[in-house]
Amino acid sequence: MDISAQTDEQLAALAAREASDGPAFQELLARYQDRVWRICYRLLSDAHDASDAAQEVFVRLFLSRAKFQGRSKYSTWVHGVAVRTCLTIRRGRTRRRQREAAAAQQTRETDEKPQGESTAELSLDLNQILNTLEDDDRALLIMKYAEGHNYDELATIFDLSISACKMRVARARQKLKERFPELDFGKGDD
Amino acid sequence: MSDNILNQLAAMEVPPPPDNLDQDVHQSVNRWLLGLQLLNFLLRAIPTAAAYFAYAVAGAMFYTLFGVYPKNRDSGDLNK
Repeated sequence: MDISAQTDEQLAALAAREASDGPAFQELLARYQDRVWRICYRLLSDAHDASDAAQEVFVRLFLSRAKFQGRSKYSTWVHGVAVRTCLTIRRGRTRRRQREAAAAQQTRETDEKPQGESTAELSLDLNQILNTLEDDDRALLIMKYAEGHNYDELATIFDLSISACKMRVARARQKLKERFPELDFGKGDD
Repeated sequence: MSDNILNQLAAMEVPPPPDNLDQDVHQSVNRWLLGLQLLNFLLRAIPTAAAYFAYAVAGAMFYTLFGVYPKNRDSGDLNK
């Protein structure tokens, strides 16, 4: 049977029986590399980190290929793995940068004035606006608004209940409204 | 309909994936497989081989001390 005619779920079942990254896994890789890359890039905002993350996502998919049980769509499962991988990388990167910043501040004994927030806010782009949120909330908004997932899929991806997802999206939007009152972040379950 | 700024997220530009992403994934997977097989080898084959040779060494020592081979589970030939 032609492997390219198989559904993702059928390919996942075939890949689970392959000893290495055989034709089924290669086909899944070809189908998902653009989507995984896009999610990684959006969540990490850096091409180099996104490339590392995308590689890591596919290695994780390969190593846990037998764990997919078909309870959700394969695409939702892949997106969940991608989000968790990126969040782990992003947290590590944040900690590393905080350490580096703290070290730099200790060595630099200058008394520069801190940047004024009011002028900086004017030039914030959407990415910078989202960066003011916690990583999980930021990822939730990106998966909802950039990737177009509904709450049902978000619940699977983030391993939360649907109501918890709705609440967190609403809370994240509320935080943004408080921080940037001049901008429109929508309302309700749009 | 909405001016919701979050709706602009979908339109944000994303560069194309690196050309060699599939090759890099293939190499990473191969490195993992090699590592797992080595680990498997270390955890299974080496202890089995060590036990096998340790039995032979013990047999040789037994022969040195008592002049006979220890009774073998599989064949009685060695004791004759």
